[in-house]
Amino acid sequence: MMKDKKTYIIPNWYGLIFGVSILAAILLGATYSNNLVFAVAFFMLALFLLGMVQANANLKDLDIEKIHFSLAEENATGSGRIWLKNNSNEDHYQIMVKIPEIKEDFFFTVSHCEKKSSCIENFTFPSLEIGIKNIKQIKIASVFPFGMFYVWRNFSITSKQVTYPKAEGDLALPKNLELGESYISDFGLQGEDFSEHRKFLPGDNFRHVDWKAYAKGRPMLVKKFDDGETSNFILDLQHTSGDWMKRLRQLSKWVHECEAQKHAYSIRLGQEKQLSMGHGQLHKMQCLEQLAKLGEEYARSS
Amino acid sequence: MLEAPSRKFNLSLLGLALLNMIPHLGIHAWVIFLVGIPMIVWRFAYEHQKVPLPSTLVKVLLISYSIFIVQQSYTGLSGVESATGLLISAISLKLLDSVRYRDAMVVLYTSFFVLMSSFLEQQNLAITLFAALDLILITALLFQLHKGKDMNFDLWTIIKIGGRLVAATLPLLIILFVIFPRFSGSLLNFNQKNVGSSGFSDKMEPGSIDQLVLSDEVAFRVEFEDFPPPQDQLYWRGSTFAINNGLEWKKLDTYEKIQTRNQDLKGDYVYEVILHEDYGKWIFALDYPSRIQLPSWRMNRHLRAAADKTYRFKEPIGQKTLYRGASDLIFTQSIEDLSVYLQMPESVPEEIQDLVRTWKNESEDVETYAKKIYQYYAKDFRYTLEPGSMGENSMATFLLEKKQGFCEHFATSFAYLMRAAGYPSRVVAGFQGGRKNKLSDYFIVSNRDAHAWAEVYNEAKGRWQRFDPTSVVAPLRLELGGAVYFTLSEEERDRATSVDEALKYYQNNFLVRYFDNFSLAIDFVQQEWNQFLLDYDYRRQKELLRKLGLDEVSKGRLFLYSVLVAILFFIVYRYRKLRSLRLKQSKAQQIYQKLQKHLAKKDIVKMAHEGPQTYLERAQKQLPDKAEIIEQFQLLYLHQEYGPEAENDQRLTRLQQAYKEIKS
Repeated sequence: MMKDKKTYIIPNWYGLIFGVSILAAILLGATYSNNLVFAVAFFMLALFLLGMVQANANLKDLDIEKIHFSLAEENATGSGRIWLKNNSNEDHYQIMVKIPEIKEDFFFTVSHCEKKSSCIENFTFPSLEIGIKNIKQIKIASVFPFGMFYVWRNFSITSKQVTYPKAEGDLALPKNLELGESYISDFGLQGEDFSEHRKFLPGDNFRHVDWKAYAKGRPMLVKKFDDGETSNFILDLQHTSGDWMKRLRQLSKWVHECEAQKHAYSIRLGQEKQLSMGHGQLHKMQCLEQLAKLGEEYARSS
Repeated sequence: MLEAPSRKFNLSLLGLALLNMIPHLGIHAWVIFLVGIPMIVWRFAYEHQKVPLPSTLVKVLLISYSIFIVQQSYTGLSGVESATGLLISAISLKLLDSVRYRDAMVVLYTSFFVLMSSFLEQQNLAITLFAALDLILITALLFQLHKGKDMNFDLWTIIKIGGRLVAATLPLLIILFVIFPRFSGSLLNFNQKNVGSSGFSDKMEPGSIDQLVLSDEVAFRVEFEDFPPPQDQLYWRGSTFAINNGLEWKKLDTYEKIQTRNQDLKGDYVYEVILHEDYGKWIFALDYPSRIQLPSWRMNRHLRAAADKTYRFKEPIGQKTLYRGASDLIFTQSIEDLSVYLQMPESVPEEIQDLVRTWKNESEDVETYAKKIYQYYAKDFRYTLEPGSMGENSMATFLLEKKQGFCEHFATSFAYLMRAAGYPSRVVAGFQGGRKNKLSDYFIVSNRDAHAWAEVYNEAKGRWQRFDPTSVVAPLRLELGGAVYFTLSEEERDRATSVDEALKYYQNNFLVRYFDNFSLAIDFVQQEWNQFLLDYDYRRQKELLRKLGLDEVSKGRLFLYSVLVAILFFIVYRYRKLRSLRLKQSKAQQIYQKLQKHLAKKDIVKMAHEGPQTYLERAQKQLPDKAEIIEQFQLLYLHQEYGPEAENDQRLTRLQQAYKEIKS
């Protein structure tokens, strides 16, 4: 995570109004030669400066460790998670995290981040258009503690947010549309016969890890089972109908159905583009990301 | 951007709005609160889901009604009082709106000004303590508003948070208070109160002072530069009355602007007065004042003086006022048209004319004539605060029938009888006496010391001369002072034959016996605080800076210094925080850090990834001759910092010894 070391601070409208109020209070004190009014005016001035110092301190030594966006469905609400690290010796409050690439005015608030600790915040965001957004910058801002100063810092990041086509369509999942390459299910539900090991991939179910082998010092391996009656699906764009978006949404629906029914599947997006057969969260994400990419290209071209 | 405040926050805001009204109660027209408080109650009921918020139409009507009420109460919408009335109403009205973040900020910001407006009405220790509490609450709510929803709203937490924040501002506040240049000007031309509420006015009619002496509120406090005059010479001149209509007298309006700046105060007595805010235009000075000086240029601009040696403000000041005065024991010459002091009502009753004629024939001069009147009073007149109504022919009723009254009756009738004999005379209203605070050197003059006496022009001496007929009828009133005299019951006053006996009665009073010293101590603190607050002007500021070695600093430079101090505060605040981070290291950590520095000199630099164990193991390998002691240091340090036992002083000493041994 790259961060801009600079912290920017400016008085906001409330700060400017407070500044003018201080001047008015000093004039009032002078007009009536009233030391108590002067005292309140100086208190306000001290509070103003304290507010500036504390506002600056509220973002001090605060880092973004990681940010993750879950795949979001078109016209639905997406979700994400951010990991912040507070390295300072003070608690931080009301940190606004702004991600303009999601939406210009999009932000969420991390209400409290304890000193010398990490804090994790789940957030939701409006997911509108199909596509892949490359998130390059995150801004953290704060007006804590008195709302008079707006302080912010910019972080350069590399992350992406994927919005895939909505899973909808009238067509039922075509049963064994095409028998493709031999694919052995990892789920172990179709058959009980152990076939072989393969390397653990992110998204694989931990229940299928061969823990005994792992305990003996071998790398994390996943057991494969074979009963010869696997259901393999090639979800082909050509087998859908309607306009382009409708067809992508149908594919999205099939992907979800295959995943729910624990089938192995692959998507074919034309003659040249076909993803390998697979299943699991990672595979699902890859498929939906492809659909998102295609949807974005289509939207751009039309 | 920020979330709407929670219900608890809104309730706290209502509490703050109510609290802010407290100092204004009893000062402003009650109808202002009759409008404001129900609005707060309405909001309170809404927060408890009892009633809906008012519609826009109702709100518009309430706004119009509030403006109307303020306009009617203060006969206009300009002036400090109207502005304060509008502020109080505005806060109440704002709370009837749906409170969003912006509204909460408006209410909190306005609270500062509502507080400041109360300082224009009163400046004392009580309002200062109230202000401290109010500022703590405002600051805490400002903080809580931005802290979000995980905030606690019990009073103790709010006071603790607010107190911490206010304490953090104190160093800068104090420095700015001391060095920020005091300038005065009338950039804002608000009118102050139109009338004082003291009971003194430009007209003297029996009944104004007797009501005043029933109140034991402090009128002013006086501190003499050297020694004070004797108790029976403590006559505090306020105003004279020259136009006579029986027992009713009016003043001559002959005040003129005077130059008081840069003039030394010279006289038999020099003193400093802190006058209560209720006295409007009035200024009280020891008989006979020769000069009055106010602390600021603006206030001096409003000072007026008359040939009768009385002083006034052009407009009511409406706030506690500090001034210095110089007075002489005798009335020095002033040019006045004496004919006005001989004016009499058209008809003087025949019986009074006879009395005057007889006395005049038996007298050689003013003083012997005055003695005749004194003798007449001494014969069968009685001093009482409840003389009853004198009817239409008031002077004759008092002098010939009722023969009982209080200082005003005696002073006005004395002046009347003097004029009837052809001696120019007038009535003077003010205070007589004052009680010395035995804890300090100042006098407390309370409303109970309010008094009236007469002045007669003595042609032979060529000056005005004071005559106090009350001294004949109620000598104890002057010898004891009003505060003590009116504490006694009427029966005790009549029974007492000497000052000592009266004082014995006074000291037997339950409240006096148990609370006198306490109330004097409170008064002393109040006086010290008032003096500090009111006396700290440009002159005092310069004195203080001179003591600090900053002679001849111009206002411009003082302003510059103030800005520099503010910047310095910013830097020091940051530095202190950094330092506090360093100080948070334990003693063992500090020793370990020293060891790291020592080892670094021997090219054994601690890597970022190394903990104390790996680092010191490496050090042992690189310094085999010190391996044993480094290992010992390592064990001691790890036990001290990470061991299950609490920090151990003995172990710490051994750690220090080990470090020294490694270093040697």
